[in-house]
Amino acid sequence: MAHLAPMNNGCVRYICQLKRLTLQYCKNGGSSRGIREFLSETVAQFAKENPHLTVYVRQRPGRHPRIVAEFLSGNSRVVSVKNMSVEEVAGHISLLRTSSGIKTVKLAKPWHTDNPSIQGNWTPFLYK
Amino acid sequence: VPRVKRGVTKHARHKKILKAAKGYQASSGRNYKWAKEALMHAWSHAYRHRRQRKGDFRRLWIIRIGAACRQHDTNYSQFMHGLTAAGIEIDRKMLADMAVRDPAAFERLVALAKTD
Repeated sequence: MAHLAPMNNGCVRYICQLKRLTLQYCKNGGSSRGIREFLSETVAQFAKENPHLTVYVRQRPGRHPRIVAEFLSGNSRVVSVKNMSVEEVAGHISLLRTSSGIKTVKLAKPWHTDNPSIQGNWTPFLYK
Repeated sequence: VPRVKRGVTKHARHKKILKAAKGYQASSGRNYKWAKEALMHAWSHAYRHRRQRKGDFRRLWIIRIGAACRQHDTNYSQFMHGLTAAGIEIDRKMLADMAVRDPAAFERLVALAKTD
């Protein structure tokens, strides 16, 4: 996969990479209890504190709750908040708010360099 | 015990195997029986080759280091002996990488290995 470009966000001016949050929950399901409590207590103030975010709240009856986060880069991330407490839901939301929009992907190797060769690679004509 | 027809669970079990055999040629990619056989071979090969990979790469690095130091009038065994005598502990992977990417530094290492 393409290497991760260095994030200059925050070096001069920080731009929150999260664009849109969609909180999907069920009115009656047991797994939605935490997010229902979050919605009744905290979400209005959270939306007011973050005017750059649009927060949608959608009912999905009969299904487990989840949070869909969309970033400025166009990537989206879906977090299942099934059976989570209010604190855990709030924790996930703050994690999404502070994350860059890069897709979470398993790295093939733990190292990376943009310039593997400084003075130039070996060629057959180098020591001829 | 009520009567159980095995279609649903069998389908779920087979689906897993067929998914793992995606891309296999002919029946092995389509037919559960042949896919299972092909996968058993594939998994046993993968197990063995994960262990062999370590040796394979070491052999590749040694070939590359040997080729690189022959350009500098020495050979692999003399070079490695000189390195250990000089107290340089760079491993073969990095030496091979340097021979490709940083030939100037590799030349300096050969010079160091040659000094008594």
